[in-house]
Amino acid sequence: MRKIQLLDIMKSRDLLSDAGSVFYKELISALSSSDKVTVDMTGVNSMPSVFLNVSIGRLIDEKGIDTLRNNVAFAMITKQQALRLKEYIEKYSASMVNC
Amino acid sequence: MSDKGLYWIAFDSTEQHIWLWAVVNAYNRVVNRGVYDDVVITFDDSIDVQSVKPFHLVTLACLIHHIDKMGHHVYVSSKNKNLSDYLFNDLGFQEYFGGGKNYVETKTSSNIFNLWRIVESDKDMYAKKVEDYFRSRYFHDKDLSAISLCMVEAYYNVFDHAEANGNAFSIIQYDKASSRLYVAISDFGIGVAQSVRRHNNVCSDREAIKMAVEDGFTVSSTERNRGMGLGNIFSMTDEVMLISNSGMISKKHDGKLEPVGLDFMYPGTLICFEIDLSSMEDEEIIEEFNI
Repeated sequence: MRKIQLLDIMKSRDLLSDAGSVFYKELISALSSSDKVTVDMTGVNSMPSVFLNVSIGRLIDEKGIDTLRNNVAFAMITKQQALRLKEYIEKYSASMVNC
Repeated sequence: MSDKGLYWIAFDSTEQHIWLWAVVNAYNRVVNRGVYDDVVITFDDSIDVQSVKPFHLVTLACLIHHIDKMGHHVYVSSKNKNLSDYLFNDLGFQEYFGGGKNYVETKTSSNIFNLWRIVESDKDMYAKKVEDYFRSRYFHDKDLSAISLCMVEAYYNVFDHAEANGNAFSIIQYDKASSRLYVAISDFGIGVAQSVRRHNNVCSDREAIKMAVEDGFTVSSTERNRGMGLGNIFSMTDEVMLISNSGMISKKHDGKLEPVGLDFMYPGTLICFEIDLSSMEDEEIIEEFNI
């Protein structure tokens, strides 16, 4: 099991999109080692679409939504963040189908 | 003032359509003028400071920035003393244009998070700062993440699509009585509508704006765009209005989106939204969440 402290990643870069790329690389690294991932959301305010698009969205593009669902969980996440993340994934997946 | 020509821009009313017409008219006349003049902005005596809202201030800021960059000297008449005092002695307008600053603390108004010239390097930090400000002052236990999220989405929209060349401003006003946050963001760039029409065969700015706020629609101007940003703003706010070029789309309390065509061409994009902070839920932490 690999744990990712998302706040550390978001603070590591000035731009959210760059932080999102770092997050994506961490996820890919864990998944390629067949590790399940827990993303610790402690201290994270929000995840705008520019962050999610280059991380979670890219992961969905390349590995599929089932890989995300089966291997990635989120800890210490607020209810609003969880709802928005779920909504994001649903919309993103729907937009892929419509392309 | 210099010996050159004097050019007057008059704001007679804060009524939204009349105000925007004045901004657009001034923008068009200054663009076509081609001579360096002194430009005087004047406000009718009937305009009360209380009626000046965030959208008035950001559109005025964009206009002044534009006139200044065209090489003209800009002055504000003291005819409406209360309003000129508000703009200069409270909001510090002169420091943004004469002083070249991107942010100035208000002198007296405590319910305004003052005008900010949207700078790419600071946009994430600024949005977080606004959320922290309201969380610490008013709503300690509420989940206010929608504030920073909406603002970041709007700021990234400016940088990814607007090509505004530094002419982009935001301002936030809080009404304590109603617990409502009023946010306005404006840029004088190419406009969301024109950006959409560059990449799609759309017959009007009205239709282009409607497309722009649909989830999943994107012009893919950068790798990070997937068409979720504007849709997020529309879904997370209570009321929102987006004006771009000759189109406008708004969402009222019933949630219905209404696109309309305008009888003027706004030279960029203006987004105004409201968030009822009292309706925000208490922050609730989930220890483990599976998608």
